[in-house]
Amino acid sequence: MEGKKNLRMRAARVAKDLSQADLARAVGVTRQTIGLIEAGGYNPTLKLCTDICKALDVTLNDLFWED
Amino acid sequence: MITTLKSKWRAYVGPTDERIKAHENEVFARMGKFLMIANLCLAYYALHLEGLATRTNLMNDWPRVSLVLIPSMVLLVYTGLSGAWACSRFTKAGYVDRNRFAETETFPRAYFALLALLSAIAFFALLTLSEAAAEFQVVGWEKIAWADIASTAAFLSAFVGVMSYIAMYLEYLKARRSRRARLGEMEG
Repeated sequence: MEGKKNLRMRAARVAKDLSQADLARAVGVTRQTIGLIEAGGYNPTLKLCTDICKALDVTLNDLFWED
Repeated sequence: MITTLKSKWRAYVGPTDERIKAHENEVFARMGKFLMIANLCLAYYALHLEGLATRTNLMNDWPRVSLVLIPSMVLLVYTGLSGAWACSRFTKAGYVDRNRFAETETFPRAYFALLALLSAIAFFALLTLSEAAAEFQVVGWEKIAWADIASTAAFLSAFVGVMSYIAMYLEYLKARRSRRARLGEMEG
């Protein structure tokens, strides 16, 4: 069940100078989950989406809204 | 005291990953459905067995306790098999747990040793209490052979603890292999 890669999330994380492990720790998941979200292999819950947005200081639209 | 222990445990194992928890829920939901159906079949089988035994006077030469034992053994075996099936589904997906050790690349010796120890303690408690409860019903409180029960339970629990640790190591290897294969497919 592979989806589209989330390159915006990866860019936002790198801009914040966080590794996948750092972000995973901040939002309470494993590093692999962050890797899978970025690779489009996992569809996160809304709660995790908002936690990621808060940790990266961005909005849901910035990372997850598709036009 | 319990709250402190719980918070220490949580700090040690880390948060539960929602992705892994969702998979675990799916596996246990399927296992629960299977157990429910199997329990229903077993209950009907036990009812018919008892009914037949009563009608054919089998009760006289086949004591009632045997009629309870047969379904109990089946229950024990298929519950064990269901647990094994759930574990295999979990490791096939690449997980060994649902916390920070879920997808670890190095074998967490201390954590699994702790889990094996806790399994042995839980098994010891289960064996001791169930055997004591059975003896209490049959021979009464005063005649419960505590020393015999405890020594047998201690031996079997130690065996279960060691076997659990070995099983966890094998499951860890299997999970790591599955995970690497899956990640390889995604990258490829």
